[in-house]
Amino acid sequence: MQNIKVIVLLICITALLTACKDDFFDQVVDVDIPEHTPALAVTCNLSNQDSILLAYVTSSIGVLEQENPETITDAKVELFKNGELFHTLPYIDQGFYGWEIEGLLGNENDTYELRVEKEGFESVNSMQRMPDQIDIISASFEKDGTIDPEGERVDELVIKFKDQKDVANYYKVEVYFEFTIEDITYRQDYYFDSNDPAVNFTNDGIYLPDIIFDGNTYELRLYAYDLFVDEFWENPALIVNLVHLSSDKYFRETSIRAYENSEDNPFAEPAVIFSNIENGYGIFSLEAVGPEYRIPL
Amino acid sequence: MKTILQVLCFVCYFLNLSAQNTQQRFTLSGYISDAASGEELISANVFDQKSGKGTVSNTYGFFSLTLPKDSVVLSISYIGFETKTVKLLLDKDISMNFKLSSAVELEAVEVVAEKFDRIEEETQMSRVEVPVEQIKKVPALLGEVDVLKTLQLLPGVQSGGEGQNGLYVRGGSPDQNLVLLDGVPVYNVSHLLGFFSVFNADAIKNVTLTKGGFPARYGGRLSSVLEINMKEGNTSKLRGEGSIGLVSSKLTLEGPLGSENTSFIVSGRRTYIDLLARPFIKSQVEEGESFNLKLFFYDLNAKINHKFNDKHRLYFSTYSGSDVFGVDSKETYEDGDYFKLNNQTDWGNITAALRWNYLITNKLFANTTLTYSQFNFNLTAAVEDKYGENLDAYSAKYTSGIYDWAGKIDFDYIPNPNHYIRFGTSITHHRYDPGAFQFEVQSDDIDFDTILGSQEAKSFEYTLYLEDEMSFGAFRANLGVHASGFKVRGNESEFYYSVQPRIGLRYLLNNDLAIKASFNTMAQYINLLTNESLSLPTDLWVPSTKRIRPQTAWQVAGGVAKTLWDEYEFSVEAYYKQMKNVVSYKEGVDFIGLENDWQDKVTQGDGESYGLELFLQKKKGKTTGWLGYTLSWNWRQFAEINGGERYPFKYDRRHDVSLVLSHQINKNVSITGAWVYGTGNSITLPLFRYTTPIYVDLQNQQVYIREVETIGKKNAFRMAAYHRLDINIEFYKKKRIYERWWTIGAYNIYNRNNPYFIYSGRDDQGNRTFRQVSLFPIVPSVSWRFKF
Repeated sequence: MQNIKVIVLLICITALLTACKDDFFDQVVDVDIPEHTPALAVTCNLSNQDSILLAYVTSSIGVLEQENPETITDAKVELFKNGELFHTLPYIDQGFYGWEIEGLLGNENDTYELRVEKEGFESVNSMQRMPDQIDIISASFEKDGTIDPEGERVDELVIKFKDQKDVANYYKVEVYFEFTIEDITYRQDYYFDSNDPAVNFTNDGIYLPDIIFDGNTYELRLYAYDLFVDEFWENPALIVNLVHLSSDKYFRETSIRAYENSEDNPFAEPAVIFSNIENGYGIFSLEAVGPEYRIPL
Repeated sequence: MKTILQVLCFVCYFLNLSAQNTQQRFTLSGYISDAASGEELISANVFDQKSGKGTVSNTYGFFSLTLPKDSVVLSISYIGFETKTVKLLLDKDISMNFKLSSAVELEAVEVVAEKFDRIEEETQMSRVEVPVEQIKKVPALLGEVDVLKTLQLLPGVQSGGEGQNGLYVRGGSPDQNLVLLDGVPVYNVSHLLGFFSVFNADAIKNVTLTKGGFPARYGGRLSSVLEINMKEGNTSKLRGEGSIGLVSSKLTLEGPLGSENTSFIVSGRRTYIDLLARPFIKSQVEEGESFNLKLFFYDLNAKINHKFNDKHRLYFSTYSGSDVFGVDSKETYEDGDYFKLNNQTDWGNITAALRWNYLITNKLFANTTLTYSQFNFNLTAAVEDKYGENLDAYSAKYTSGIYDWAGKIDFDYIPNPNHYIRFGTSITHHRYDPGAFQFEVQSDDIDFDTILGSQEAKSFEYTLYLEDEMSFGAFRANLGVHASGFKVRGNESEFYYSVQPRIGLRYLLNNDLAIKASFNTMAQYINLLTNESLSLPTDLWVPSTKRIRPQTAWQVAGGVAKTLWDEYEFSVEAYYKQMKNVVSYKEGVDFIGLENDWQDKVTQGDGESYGLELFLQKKKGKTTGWLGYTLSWNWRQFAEINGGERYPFKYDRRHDVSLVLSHQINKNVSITGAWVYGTGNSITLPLFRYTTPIYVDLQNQQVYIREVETIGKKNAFRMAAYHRLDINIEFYKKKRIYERWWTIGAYNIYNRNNPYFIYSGRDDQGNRTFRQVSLFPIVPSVSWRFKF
């Protein structure tokens, strides 16, 4: 029995001593990672309303290398339209290459290809088709028109549009608050939320696949908190844009969102950020912004 | 069906004739039970010392032994019980029941393995039975006795993450285990995200795990069959037992109802974190507010049995268990307006079985069962806002679940000691709710109610089997065939069927070394969509459909088994298993997302596992326990995952060692230790990174650029090895009206930093590095157990 008392005592002492150990739950460990071969990483999101063509070029770097990924300043960046060179994009600054065109990119259904070359790297490319413009049929705003998940009265914005049938479509909604003070018009991003389960939120706003309303007219309901309109402001209005996205743009944005959600989450399946750049990494995408819909306030 | 039964009866009749035509034979049959409790003993041995023939009792304690007319010297034995020897003249069919006394009460008796008990006598390989008393002694996290975590200590069975109770048997995943509680499938075996199992050891009679060499009576899953049978209740007097621990308390009552022919058992368990927190919460709540925290799980087992006579017995057993996590709050204002918020997540199982044992003849035993099983998960969020005459209400509910009704009939036919024939059939109706959202909004000007998500599905599953365990001298075989069909209804309507041969062989060499081999094929028609890391209640059970084909597997195993020095059982087994159409989520999908039907989120591929298992067990004496070692390789390959390349399964573990030792120091004190070692789990890590603009506003010249990491090959890296020592010391005392045990223990006694996961981060100097997260340091525990 004496031995047992000693064992129990030892368990208690061990428990007390070892429980005081620093950083038990989170420690630095060595992992042998293979050497990474750098490749070009390109980001180029273009809209039919763009007059400036902008691409960002950098290179990938091993995960444990202490320095930051370097931007590439002397790459050859070319944009092809329907198989022919449309423009070469010269380097501007901070990894961005760009060119201002006359007018807007426009043109539904045109095919664009982005090619990037840089000595010491494998050349990369990607191809996309410009989506159709989708018009908003109607949009309305109502002060205190609905409630949020906590039951609070909130303002409601309803946007109605017609989806194309038998085609997987992806949308983004942009909402701005516009007003004029002394002949100067101001336009600000205005943040809306939604109870609609079909909505996906990304860093870039509200994204919407047509899974549950394919081919039908859809009313998207959004809500916002306390839109403040000063009595001295002139022509206050909400400006609503419905943006028709290429599928790659949708997958890129939602995968970044999934990646951010899975960061530091051990229970999440590792999220792979969508990439459509051949021989490299990143995204080349197109989107078509429909006509602005103005809701006077 | 009628024709099949006629054929089966003819086979039985033929086997009976062939046995009888040489010499006049008579049958001794009956039940074997525990003298103290009246509990029937499963797999107890009845052995005639003169002829060297014997048999074992079935799941209901029934045995039948047909021998030539002669005097017989019967040994009736069961592990942990005194062996009973009976001499009698077998000159007619005899029905006789035997009651065995526990060896624990008979200290002077040295209980050694009878010849027929020995591992080398069994035809079936890859099967382990763990006594419940041993399970109760094995140290456990927070002192909470856990059946499944004890099974993880067996060779060929891997645990999942730290503290998890998922069973990964020979490279299979937890959904490939058929877990039967009194013959009813249990779909979710976890409480509290997998840290505790739903099985209350106080209500359990025996636990048997079959990892391979499946006899034909088993089907429906690829990797293992775990049979857990509840106690039937003491038939002689009212008894009780219970415990008070850090996490939960338990109470079990059992006894006769009226007469010895009817008995019952009721057992309950509940955690009480919420009850302990209630006074503290109450002190923080202000006037006009109410706040109710719901954070608990419970289990309730109940069983009632009635013996009409030696031919007819009826059993009804049920289990209900649930996890509840939620908050109810309400704020009431002076004018009567209020704001109410209810959030609740709950999930749980309900099972029920009605069983009728009918002894048709002294050689033919029938068991007819009706069963019900359900697992469902509910997530509810509701808000009510009353202001003046207006009431705004909003609610969202996510539900998923599986609901089964089944009927089956099983026959045991024992024409003579050389044949033990089992045959039967079953039909199961499955209903699946594979995840649906319901949104409801009500206010003065809005009335919105919609259901989104995957639609309900239904299916029928049919089985038919025949097996014969036969012996010819030193050679024994269990040959059988299991046939199954699956009809799924609805838009994805399809019919699948499978005919699965089962072979188990044993040859006993002169030195009592048994050589064993087995081959089996399996088919699985229902699938679990699950996260590999945790046993989440959001896991979905879904049927095979036109697009999602049934999972299939074949397994071959071979090995040797021998009893050493009458005390040790030793076995070595090698196995190879190939799986087809195993199911996994595609990379990066959101498993509660609405974007697609569940079928769009999953992909099917192949699995392969092979390895070697070594098992040395000591079941008797003052020191008991086992040493298990597994050397294994587990692979998966999906066209849509890892670029189509084969990769190691997350719980691929090259070496796995477990050592469990229990020593009875004296009559009142025992000490038990369990040490485990396993190669680190495979893990996916980021390999490189690059920067990408997330937001660009040219007009306002605002740019947000962030760095993103990209993962490499799936599961290409290994975490550090896992090892841990747990110790329990149990102090027993017999009081005047009850017995009690104090158990003091510690989990991870040397405080090993076992890896739970690894992520890329920075060290204290800001340098990029990988960091490891560990979950449990040393965790002491104490519990008090009693029995009366």
